[in-house]
Amino acid sequence: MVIIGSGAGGGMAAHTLTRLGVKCLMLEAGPLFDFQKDRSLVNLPDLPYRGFGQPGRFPHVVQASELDAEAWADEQQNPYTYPKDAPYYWVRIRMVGGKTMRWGRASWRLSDLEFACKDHDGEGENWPIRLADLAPYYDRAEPMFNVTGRNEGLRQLPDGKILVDDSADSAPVRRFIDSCKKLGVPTTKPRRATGTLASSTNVLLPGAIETGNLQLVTNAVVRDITVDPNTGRASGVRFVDRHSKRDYHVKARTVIVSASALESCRILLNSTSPRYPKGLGNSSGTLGRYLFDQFYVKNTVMCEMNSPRGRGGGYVVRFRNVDKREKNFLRGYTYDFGCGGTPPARYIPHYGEALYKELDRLRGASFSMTTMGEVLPKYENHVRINKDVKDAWGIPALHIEHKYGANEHAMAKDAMEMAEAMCTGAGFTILGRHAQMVPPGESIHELGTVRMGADPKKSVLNGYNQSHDVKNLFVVDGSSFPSGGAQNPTLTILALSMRASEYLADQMKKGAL
Amino acid sequence: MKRRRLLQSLMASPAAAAAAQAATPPPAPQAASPATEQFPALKVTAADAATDGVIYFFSSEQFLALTRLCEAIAPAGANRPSAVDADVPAFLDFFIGQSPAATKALYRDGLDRLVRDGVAGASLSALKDSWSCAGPADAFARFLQQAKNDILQATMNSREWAAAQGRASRRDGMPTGYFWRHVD
Ligand SMILES: Cc1cc2nc3c(=O)[nH]c(=O)nc-3n(C[C@H](O)[C@H](O)[C@H](O)COP(=O)(O)OP(=O)(O)OC[C@H]3O[C@@H](n4cnc5c(N)ncnc54)[C@H](O)[C@@H]3O)c2cc1C
Repeated sequence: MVIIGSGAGGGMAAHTLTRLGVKCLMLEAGPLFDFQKDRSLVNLPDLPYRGFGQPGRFPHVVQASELDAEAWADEQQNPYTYPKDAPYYWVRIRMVGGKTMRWGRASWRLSDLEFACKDHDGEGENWPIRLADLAPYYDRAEPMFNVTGRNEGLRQLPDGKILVDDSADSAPVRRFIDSCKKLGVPTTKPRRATGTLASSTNVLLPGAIETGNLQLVTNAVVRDITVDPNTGRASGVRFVDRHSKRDYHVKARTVIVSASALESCRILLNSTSPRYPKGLGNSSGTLGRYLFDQFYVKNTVMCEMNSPRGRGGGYVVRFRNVDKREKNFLRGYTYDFGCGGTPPARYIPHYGEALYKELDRLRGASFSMTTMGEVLPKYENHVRINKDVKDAWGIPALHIEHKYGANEHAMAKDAMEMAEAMCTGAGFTILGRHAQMVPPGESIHELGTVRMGADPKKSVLNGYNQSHDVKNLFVVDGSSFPSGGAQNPTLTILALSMRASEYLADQMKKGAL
Repeated sequence: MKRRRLLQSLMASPAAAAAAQAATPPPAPQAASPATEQFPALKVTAADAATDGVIYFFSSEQFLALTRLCEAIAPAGANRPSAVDADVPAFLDFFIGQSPAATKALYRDGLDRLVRDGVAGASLSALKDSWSCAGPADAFARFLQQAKNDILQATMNSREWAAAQGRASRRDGMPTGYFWRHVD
């Protein structure tokens, strides 16, 4: 068994399979990073760029800070292209653990509003599975990551096996929640994995290695998957050592790909052969298609709280298009909200002494909301191989085309207006509001391009993340999502990977693979 | 030695310093110590804490205008150094000098206009416009908004700021954070 990638999807596959006695070899493009040894405490004023970071080093990674710059994949070594008028911000981490080394740990379940989205409003495609299929795996993934939060019994936000957060809300948070209630809008506590370092590296991989069934090869940059021309099955994986650039080939009975959504798709698109000229498992022609993510409007509103002030935050649950069709757009959005900081100086129309006075007055007075909206997967939003551009290892790069459409724009505008209503209802003063979405990709929730579906003519994978065309090929990351709601996707990636891995082990036992 | 410390040191008596040095006795020979078997963490100093970076990007007129702009945007107060105390003009010369071409042009053009018009209330009036997501259409107003944010952040993230805040709150030490080292 070869597993490509050691992030959320790959880590969970290794964790699950090794416990079932399956021998696995994991190929990870990056090095092993040790939180104890490889991070050191520094005085912030000693940073040479005073916290701004080296200018121009990460043009597409706004999340990179001067402290953690080394965490992010180098954009020069790992190039990609996009149309001039449609920048795509592709955020990547190449080290053991992948993006779970820096994730925000928000962990929500998807609901049947997502799994059966077409039944609900006629748009897009249903998933081949429902919440009932995935719930047993969510039930096991949540405790592994010590997810905390509060179950609300809402159909659009399924309850979880979580540690109950029954902490008291501060006065301004209570005022905000009351204001939402008056508007018929549900709220809840944040739901997230405990422990700032919770990642694949410390939660999933140690147990897998302990079984003696996992070999983890670092600095192994996968080029493509090879195929047996007689059977059409995957026969192995070709990779190149990141340092020496020596080429390797490893044979595999089964290949699990989880190199993160777009990297997994890139590997399949680069795996061409006479039998699969358009990419591996692409008889449907949908490989690379239906790229989407979640759109973010950061600081949709920035407010000054009234007194008494306080700290804390929470989550506004999707309320649009749940029970009835009510707006000029499909689907819905959620918000993260938080308070108790100081509004950034850009919101304060002063300078000099007057600016400092305002900053003093507003210390601890900020209340802000960030919108996270569902994006409709569209055929025209896609990735393909750009043969003219290669990465530092000679592997053809991706061209990414993703634009938000009318539905997303209408939703963002509604989200701005509703956020304003919620905040003014709580007695807060709006300092700034807007509906400007960040560029596609920046939410770091890229999804689709290797989607699952019941119909092999319209999808690449079946309901077990298994290729319709190549039975010993599984893709277990977010590329498999046919739709994604507004919930952060990683908990669902973990549950899908666990489910696919158990199915796979079972199929191996039965001799079906 | 830092530019702004130079003046103070010139005012101190060189003769007194020489006398103090002459009075120090030579070190006694050391007995063999276990130090050769250990490796202590040595305290080191960041380059810009010990000395000044070379000014290379802005012309001297532009640099003067930037210094005045720094004083106007972030003046000193109780428990608060000014942007100039925090060496922000020299930092921005370095930082903007390494920035993408568009940022360089925004700063150079903006500072040229300040050289021409002077750094007075009238030329800074765009800083009193209220916030909009798209930002001002006018390039000079955009320059002022960006300079305001840059100057403020560079001041608040400076050693001088941290020291002043520490003194005011009677807390020791600098703000710290975890730095990810390069792992190959
Ligand atoms: C700052 C930040 C905040 C986030 N916050 C949240 C959050 O709050 N909630 C949430 O649900 N999600 C969040 N995410 C997203 C989350 O991290 C990802 O959804 C998740 O890690 C995806 O898992 P993955 O296995 O698909 O990919 P990754 O975790 O990225 O792992 C992919 C691995 O594959 C490796 N790889 C890539 N290409 C190759 C190749 N050619 N050969 C070999 N190996 C390869 C990579 O090096 C990497 O280790 C956040 C991400 C970031 C960066």
